[in-house]
Amino acid sequence: MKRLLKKEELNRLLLGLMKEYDVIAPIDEEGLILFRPVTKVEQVLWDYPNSLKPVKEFFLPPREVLFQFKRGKVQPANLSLKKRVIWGVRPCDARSLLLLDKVFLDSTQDVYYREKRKSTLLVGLSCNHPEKSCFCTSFASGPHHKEGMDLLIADLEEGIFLLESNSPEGEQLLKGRGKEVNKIDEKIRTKIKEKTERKIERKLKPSQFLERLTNGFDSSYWEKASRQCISCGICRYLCPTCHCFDIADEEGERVRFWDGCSFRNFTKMTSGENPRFGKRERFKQWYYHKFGYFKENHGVFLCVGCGRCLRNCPVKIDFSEVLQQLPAQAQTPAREG
Amino acid sequence: MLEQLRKKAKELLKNKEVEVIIGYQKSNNNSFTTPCFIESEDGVDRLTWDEHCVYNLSLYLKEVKGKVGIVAKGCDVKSIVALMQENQIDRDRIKIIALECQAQVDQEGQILEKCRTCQVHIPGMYDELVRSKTSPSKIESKESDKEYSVLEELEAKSTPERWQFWQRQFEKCIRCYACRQVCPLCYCSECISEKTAPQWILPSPSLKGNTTWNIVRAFHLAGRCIDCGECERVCPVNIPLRRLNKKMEKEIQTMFNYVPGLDSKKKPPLVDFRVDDPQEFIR
Ligand code: SF4
Ligand code: SF4
Ligand code: SF4
Ligand code: SF4
Repeated sequence: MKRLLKKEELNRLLLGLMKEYDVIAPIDEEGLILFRPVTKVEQVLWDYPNSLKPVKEFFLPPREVLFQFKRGKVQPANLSLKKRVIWGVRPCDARSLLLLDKVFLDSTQDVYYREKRKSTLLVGLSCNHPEKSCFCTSFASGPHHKEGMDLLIADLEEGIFLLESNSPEGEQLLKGRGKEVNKIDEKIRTKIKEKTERKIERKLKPSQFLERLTNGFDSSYWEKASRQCISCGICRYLCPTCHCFDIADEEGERVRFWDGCSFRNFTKMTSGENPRFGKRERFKQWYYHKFGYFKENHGVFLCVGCGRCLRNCPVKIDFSEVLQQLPAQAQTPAREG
Repeated sequence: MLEQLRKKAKELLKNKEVEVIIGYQKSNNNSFTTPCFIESEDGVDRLTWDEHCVYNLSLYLKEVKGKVGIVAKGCDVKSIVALMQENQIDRDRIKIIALECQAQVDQEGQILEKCRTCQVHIPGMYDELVRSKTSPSKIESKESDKEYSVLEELEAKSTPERWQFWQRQFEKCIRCYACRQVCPLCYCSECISEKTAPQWILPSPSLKGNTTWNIVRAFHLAGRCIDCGECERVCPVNIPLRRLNKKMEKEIQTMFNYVPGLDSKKKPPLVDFRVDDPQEFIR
């Protein structure tokens, strides 16, 4: 279903959602753009570069209590959640959840993740002003894609919005609102969509990656490529598709929290053995997981082109460049193990 | 300046005085710079120098083996001095190409806070020095640009207010450890945050663990931090880490009249002992 809404009508929709759901939306929190629970329409940003942290934080939180054990009693975590709406999700981030679903829902179901997914509606906002670092169009997505969302809001500018549902729940939200969409509106929409897609300068050919990676596993290239990297957690933590975690006991709570392959102790075993001790191996793992193993196992690349890793790397490592420069015919000995 | 820098770098590589030079190159889209490692004479043309050379490259000195050349600003040289004081690097294998530096700017083009009070526009130690042609002090220092003026606002607050301020800041920490990883003086082969038996610092991002983490890090850098400000620059959630470090620096200076990174022969106060120590408990 498609409907045309004016800004006031859209605000009314949001206000209505706030009465019924817990609404999470992008706000400016002391200079950082973050998705946070909101209670006032005025708090919500309309035109914003994508948030610093991806919306994965609401499904795979930075820290999550799995259960509590206090005074000899085990207290399971309360999994029931009030229905929530994440408002203003960008298309890349909405798609990232479909990738995370492959990890947390496909074979073994992770109940913590599943319950949060089940109780959340995604209302997306298309992008009209992509950033220099964006390249969603290289990864089967685009600034006006509705994949993964319940409802997509496209800004037709001049205070008019085209809303398009993508699920029965989304359709429910739209019912009886605004007015019908005519051919002219559709045309304007297509024009804006195409114009925005043209603005995305960064274009990758991910189809080449898999072969290059397979050939280049032992290439000395990785030594050079990883030199600048400081092995922090930024590109992993801020990536909407990175999903590695650690589990620890903290004062009567078993918690699971974000972890990443850039860290030295990520692969450290109890025996002291560490198969990925060196920086080069840790650096490389990220590329192999996203563009090699995940593709082999799930048929898609583990990247949605949001550009957060490029934007936030403290030493300006450009991962697309790292992949692009990987020699196509790397001379490598046969892969062992 | 750039020509001179490239010339000196070329000479060092040509005469085999160094095997690699750590410097700055233009970033991919030319809008900023990124660290680079140059191993051949024809590579020196990649070297660049402008007000976007924010990185403290001395971070890489420990990783790069053999004879190495490093492009360094005044503040970066201070960390090389500090690393020497702590016996972390062998001065003989390092050639410092020092650059006179007016100021560095952030991605928005704002002059970095540390540069407003910089005392080392001309680096204090080097093998080669590249001087600037323009006269120094392009930045007019304001009355407020005193060494510790950045602390005034916080120092005026009461202890509970300060605690509240820092709790709010630490709450934001995502434990990405970029502050540790970028710090030239955070070189422990095993960080206290990585220890699991016993677990000194709660590993998950929670207010409690984050507070311990940030305070422990500040303490470990007391009298050692040379104020390159890199930790604050890289923190993705904008925690004003430089203020913590600056406060520690000030305390050490008042107590021991010592500023780190200026004299490679001097012993840092926390590894030194004097019979006339002002503190009762240590005598
Ligand atoms: S790899 Fe980079 S561009 Fe791709 S989804 Fe992750 S953060 Fe975004
Ligand atoms: S953000 Fe940059 S420096 Fe940090 S681990 Fe990723 S690539 Fe390395
Ligand atoms: S502190 Fe001084 S030497 Fe360092 S970047 Fe600023 S002006 Fe340059
Ligand atoms: S860089 Fe900032 S967010 Fe990351 S661990 Fe350090 S203080 Fe925390």
